[in-house]
Amino acid sequence: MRRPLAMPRPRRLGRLVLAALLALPWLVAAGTPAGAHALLRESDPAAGSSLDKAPSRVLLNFTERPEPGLSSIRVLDSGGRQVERGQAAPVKGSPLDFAVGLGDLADGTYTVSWRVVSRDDGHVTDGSFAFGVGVPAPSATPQAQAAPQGASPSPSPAAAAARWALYAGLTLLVGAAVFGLAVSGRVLPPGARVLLAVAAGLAVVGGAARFLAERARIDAPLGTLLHSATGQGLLRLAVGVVVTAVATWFLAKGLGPAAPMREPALVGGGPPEGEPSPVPERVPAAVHSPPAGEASAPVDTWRLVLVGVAAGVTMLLHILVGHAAGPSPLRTVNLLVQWLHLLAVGAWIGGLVWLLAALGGRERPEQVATARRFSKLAAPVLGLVAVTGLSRALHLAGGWQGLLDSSYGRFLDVKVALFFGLVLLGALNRYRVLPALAKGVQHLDGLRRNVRGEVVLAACILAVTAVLSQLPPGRFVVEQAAAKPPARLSLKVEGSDFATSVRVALSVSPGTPGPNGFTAKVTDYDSGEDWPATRVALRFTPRGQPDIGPSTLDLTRSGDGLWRGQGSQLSIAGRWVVVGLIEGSGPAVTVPMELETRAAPQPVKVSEVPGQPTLYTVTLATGGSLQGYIDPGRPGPNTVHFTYFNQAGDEQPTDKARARMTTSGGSEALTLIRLGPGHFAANIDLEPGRVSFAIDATTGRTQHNGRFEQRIE
Amino acid sequence: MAVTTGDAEPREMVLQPYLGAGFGEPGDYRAFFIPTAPGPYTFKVTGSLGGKKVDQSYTSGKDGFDEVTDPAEAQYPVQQPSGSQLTRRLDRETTRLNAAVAAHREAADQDAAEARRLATVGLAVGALGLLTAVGVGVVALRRRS
Repeated sequence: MRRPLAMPRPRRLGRLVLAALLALPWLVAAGTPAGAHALLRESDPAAGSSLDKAPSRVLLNFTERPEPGLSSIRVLDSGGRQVERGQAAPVKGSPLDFAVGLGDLADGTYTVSWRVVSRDDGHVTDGSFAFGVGVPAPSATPQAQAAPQGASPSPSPAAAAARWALYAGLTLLVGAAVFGLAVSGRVLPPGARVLLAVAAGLAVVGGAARFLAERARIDAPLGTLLHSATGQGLLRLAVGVVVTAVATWFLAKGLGPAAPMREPALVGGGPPEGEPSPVPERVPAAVHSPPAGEASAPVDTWRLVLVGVAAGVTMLLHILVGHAAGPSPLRTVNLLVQWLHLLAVGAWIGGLVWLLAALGGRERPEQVATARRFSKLAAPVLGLVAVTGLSRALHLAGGWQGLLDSSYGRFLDVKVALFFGLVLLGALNRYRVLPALAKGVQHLDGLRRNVRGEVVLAACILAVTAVLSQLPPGRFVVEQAAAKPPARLSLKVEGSDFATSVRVALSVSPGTPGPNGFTAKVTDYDSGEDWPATRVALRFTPRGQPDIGPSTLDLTRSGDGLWRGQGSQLSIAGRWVVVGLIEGSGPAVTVPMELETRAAPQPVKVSEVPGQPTLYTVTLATGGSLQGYIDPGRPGPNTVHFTYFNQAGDEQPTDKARARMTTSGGSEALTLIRLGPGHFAANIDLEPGRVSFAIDATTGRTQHNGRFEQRIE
Repeated sequence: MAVTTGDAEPREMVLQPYLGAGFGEPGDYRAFFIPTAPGPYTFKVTGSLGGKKVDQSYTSGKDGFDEVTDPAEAQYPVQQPSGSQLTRRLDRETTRLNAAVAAHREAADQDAAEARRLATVGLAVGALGLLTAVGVGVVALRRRS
């Protein structure tokens, strides 16, 4: 004779509820932010940056570890050609860094396009941004402007259906174990075999469909996928599902012959002291015996435990390829909280389905008792669901903004609304329907109707969760929205006066010759606090240009304590001495600084005529244009020509000129031969690869700087 | 005439006929001072000229005369600080030095106080040990006797 299981008593239940409530602050505190989708945190080169020198690699830093075999970085030049070298790979010792080497980059604009599968949760994100070498980068590609940190593909209906089936199957199986062990005294209700078969079928179909859906989303060959951590996680999940199905088969096989649903409290010697008998006193004696065809099946304890453990472990395997597995200082706690959440959901929602099955058929007194016991068990389990769910939602939702603005937040709102509906129905059963039944109301229709409603709501919650688990968390979306746009290009210089009383940090944007914005932060040299200046002026003197007199720009104080001004004082390219004049209490002080302007962007028009060298026409900032070409433009001996033209299209005489050539082997000065008033040439020897030329010529006081590049093939 | 810059007290000066080569020119009045701080200067001319009252102000700026610049800008090859710059630098360095000395002194005082406390405790423990030894000796002597 089996020992009856001890039924939970009210005091114990009360303590469980209290413990769950006391755990709330701990769980809230434990809910540390996890990555949840590999979000691009920063990059080198930075998005929208302009570099004077070509980088040797592109390095992206993500919030989660990229999966090496399934993730990629492509770097494209302005012609759409790939310029990266080899496969992107994680940086040794920095698993969140993902890098790809670059070939020899000539001056120009480059687009970095990345697609990453998170090694932690298997989710896919992609995005792109641009940077410039030698020229200011455009603001970014349209996609990068929309989602500079990365975008996640929309959830697919097939993947959502797969997840729903997996959740439903595992939930039913956990529910079977909990219901059999803690509610019905190892007896499963009539029709258990069918329900178990449906549950196992849902889990197997869901697991297989999820694998296929993930493979389609990741878009990688099966072999590559299985060699990755993500693929192995999915494989482990599939194995877990199969083991669970086998355990379910054992359970179904072990279901005994049809027998009356036993009343464990009676087997154990009746209801606990002080607890009213679960059997309504006025239930007619005729209903104590189950009618023919409505039999309950007894089962061994170990079979129930086996199914519960198998389904629970499979839930854990599912969690290990989900949001909770993201990198976090308390990743283990996050996983534990999520696992507890799923187990509690299984015990509650799965148990509801089994309760509905137990309430089926003709009315019997033990059905009321079973419902009462389930109701008592449901209270602490419900508390656990709420606490663990709240803990997970707190750091995934992204606050109020995430709840309102993101798809994740809106689905979470729906889930919470459904959850409250479920709680209301449960409370109605516990405090209205069940007490009424105990007082002798014989009809179970109301209870059945409510439980049926709870099951429908629970199915909806699982459906919402299936979509929710594929969406980027609200926090991800909020962080994306708050992502700072690429900083404007600027020059930054600092200086202090001789007396070391004042520091000036000057920012010049964009820092190219012509109109610029000037922003100065004036602080005390020692304390770093704002200096009580009454006037700040900048005095500009070009270095090495004695014939150009100094000019002054007065800055005005803005609300944020900075001094700002606009002006075209940096009128020519080169080095400038900038002296800050700071007036305030006491004598004025001067702060000398020095800066060098950036190269201004130069539109280059490329003319290709078959059989002739490619002609580059550079529009100069000083007016006029520079034409250049390499003859013949093939590896070996070549001649490069530079000709200056004025705005009327006539050759522009120049006083002197100098030019440099840069290849992958380095940079060298060219020996120029004057072929005309504004026409120069140089004999060069070229190898395959990119070559760029920079030429500076002077006409009177005006300096013309031009550059162009060509690939030699 | 009064000259002023920044929040410095105005300097009153008397414009006197400039008697240069050939005894100067009529109407050429001058006063001399050496500006010691860079920045804009304002000159206020008051008095009477030919029986008419004069009250005019002139400030350096875009539409007037240039501001006074740091003399170091014109120095080559080595730029020397002015006397006032040196004075301010000395003041700043002295303040920093005094603060550093005070901090070191405070730390030293704390160390000394800690050492005194330890010494006192050591002395007390030593005295206690001595007294205990004397007591034990006395008791031993009494037992023997």
